[in-house]
Amino acid sequence: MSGNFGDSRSVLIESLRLKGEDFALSNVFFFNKKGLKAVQTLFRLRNDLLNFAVDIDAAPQVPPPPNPPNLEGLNQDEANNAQSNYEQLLSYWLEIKDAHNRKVPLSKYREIEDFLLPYFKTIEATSAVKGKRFMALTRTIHEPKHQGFFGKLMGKEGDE
Amino acid sequence: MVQTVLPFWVQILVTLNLYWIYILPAVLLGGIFGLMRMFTMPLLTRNPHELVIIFGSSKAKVYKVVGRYLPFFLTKKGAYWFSDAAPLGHNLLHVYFEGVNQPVYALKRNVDKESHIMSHRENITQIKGHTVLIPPSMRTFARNWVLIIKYGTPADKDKPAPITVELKTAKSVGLGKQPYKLGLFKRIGVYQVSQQVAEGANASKQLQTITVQNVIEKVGGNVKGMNFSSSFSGRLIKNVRRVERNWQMLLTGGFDMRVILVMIVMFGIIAMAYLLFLAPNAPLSPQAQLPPPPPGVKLPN
Repeated sequence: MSGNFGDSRSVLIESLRLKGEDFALSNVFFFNKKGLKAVQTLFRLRNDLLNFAVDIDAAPQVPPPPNPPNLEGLNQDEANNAQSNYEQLLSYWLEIKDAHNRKVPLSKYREIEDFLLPYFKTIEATSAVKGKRFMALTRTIHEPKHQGFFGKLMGKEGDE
Repeated sequence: MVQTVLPFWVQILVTLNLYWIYILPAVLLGGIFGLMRMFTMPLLTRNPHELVIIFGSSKAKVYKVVGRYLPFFLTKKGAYWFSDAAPLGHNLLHVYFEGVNQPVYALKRNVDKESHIMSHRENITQIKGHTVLIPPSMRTFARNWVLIIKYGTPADKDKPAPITVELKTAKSVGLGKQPYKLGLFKRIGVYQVSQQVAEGANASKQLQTITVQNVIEKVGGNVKGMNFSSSFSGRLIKNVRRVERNWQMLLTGGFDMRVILVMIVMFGIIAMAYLLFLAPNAPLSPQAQLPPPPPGVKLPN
């Protein structure tokens, strides 16, 4: 993992590049509390659909996990390709493992994921999300350190 | 002032005398309804229909299929999947138990149910309540009935056995006698012909009761999970439809402005009705006073 962790923008950019699901969700700015309800509803729906699709006889067996690539002696491009291939294989393997654990046939698992994909995409694509994230990357917000009556008093003391 | 207290029966007679114009039609209509319920059996119809019967723990409900646009239909408490209908006279019949979303004679796992839930998100009326207005014959007066499911021999080993359904009175198969009391509701049990009993035995011994427990045991191997639950699948279908319909509003925390529009229209109608009919000096109110006649004009008495 590369990146300068010195300032907050680099951390944000690096984390967004990694596409961590929870991190992406934590960056979503909803208009109000109903947005949280939407996320909850979506995950519940996914769980219900997967429960409905449980079929013990047709559940996939887990293959051995993919081996991490040996990057020695490769130039930068080849190493990147090998790494991305490995990540792709690993994500596919994780999917099969999840389907196996839930006893869901792989075709049904993919079908349900494909059905829910537009909803997850809309969470990412709300205009509010875009605006706030853009602002977070371009604007520095100066927050007052001491607020309120006592805060100001303490601030004065601190400054002096 | 003398107050006379009339006996109760005289009061009833007086009430009947005063309000017979309302009481007589009500009694007639109620009587016709009662007679109709006593003489009709919903599964025996004058015209051919595709019917659905759902056996509950205490009630069996009969519906009429009015649309086959979707591969399933929804009741208040759950969803049920269509399968091949069994012929019953000139009708077609689907037989279900409450809680199991496939017909009792087609319990092989339907692998397309998930796809159906996710792709058919439209709300189309598939079934409606079913009542028979004119009984096809006087024989339908019998109260106790049995529905017998018979499995034929399949033409090919891979194909499922052809199903036929027979409706008989309980008395005719030796399972009960016609009670002497009258009632508005019919009784019906569902049976299948037992394979073990040799032919020539008593007809009642050949019949084997089908219960929810039988069906669940038969489903057994498949049923790990929720795939055969009618209430779960019904809730799932409703949730998928709800999310599809309201997703944007749910995500952005919006509010459906149509609700406000309906309320404005409703209050507007109430206000207009008040202004037109009920307000003092309203133009259409019965109490509206006419202006005084011009001088020299004499109104007729």
